Amino acid sequence: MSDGYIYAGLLACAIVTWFLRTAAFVAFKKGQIPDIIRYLGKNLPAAIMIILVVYSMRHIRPGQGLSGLAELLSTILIVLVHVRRKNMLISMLVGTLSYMVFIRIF
Amino acid sequence: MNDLKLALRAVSPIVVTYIFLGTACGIFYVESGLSPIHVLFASIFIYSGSMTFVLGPLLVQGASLFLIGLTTLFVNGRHLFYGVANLEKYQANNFVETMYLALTLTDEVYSIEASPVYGKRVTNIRLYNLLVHFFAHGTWILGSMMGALAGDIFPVDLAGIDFSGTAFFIIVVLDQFMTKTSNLPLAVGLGAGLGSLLVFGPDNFILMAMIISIVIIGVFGKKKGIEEEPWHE
Repeated sequence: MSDGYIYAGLLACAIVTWFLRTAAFVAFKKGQIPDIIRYLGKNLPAAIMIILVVYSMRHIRPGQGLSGLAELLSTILIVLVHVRRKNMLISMLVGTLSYMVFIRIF
Repeated sequence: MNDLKLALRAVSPIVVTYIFLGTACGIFYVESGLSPIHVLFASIFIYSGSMTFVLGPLLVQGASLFLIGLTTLFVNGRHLFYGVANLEKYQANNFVETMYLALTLTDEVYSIEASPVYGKRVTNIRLYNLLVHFFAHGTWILGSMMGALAGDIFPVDLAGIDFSGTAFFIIVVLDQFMTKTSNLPLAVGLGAGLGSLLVFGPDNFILMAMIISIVIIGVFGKKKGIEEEPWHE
């Protein structure tokens, strides 16, 4: 791996990522956003968020041993703590620490 | 409370995630044969955790630039939709600022801004947006450099720390669920996500899930009663 090749590779990855992240903002000028895009902008976030939850648990194989059990238990804990305390940091810490404990037990 | 404090509070949930995830990415890059300067370049200009674990092996194998670009297109394709969703969030920022905000719109930053309480009680939303993105970006760079420079002296086994990202996404969904708005977008996303995962498998489903959600919400949404302005409490 030459230094030049690594920078070229990093740059290729960066340019595509830049394109994906800026495309919508370049395509639609402020004040000229079509109604349908405006409508999607308001209703899409919730759908995207839950897809991200599915995405971050995509490697679970239900029925194969205990796969997914640590995720399930941690999720239940997060829901219980968050509904009661409504403090994002505490909910995250409880969820993450419990998950780290669970994967060492199972 | 002033805007700086509000921005720090908004960013705080992902600071922990980014320090650890950044460290993991820094360690991974160095183990793949990259130098700390390369890691610095990647953390500033690519700023993508999910890409790290794909790009490292590609570089090691000497993949062509075309293949690297194409792979990035698929792995990071979802970012196209974050822009669509956030078009109106940066109204107060000028073009150059909006480009910085767009370039630093990661999964986690997007999640902060998707929260129904984002920007509440803020007096200068223009500065607030920039601060939130800058703090998140800076934390990521810091974590990456910690991993690149001092990865081998990390004392404890951190396996499972990456669940903090998952926990974060779950909490944002929960917050969304608990507001008095239509839950139909959530239901659409869940159905499209699980359905696509079953059909296309774990490595290729997310783009399809987002496209399906856009089609359902965009084409059938109004008929099915998804509210016009679900963000209003």
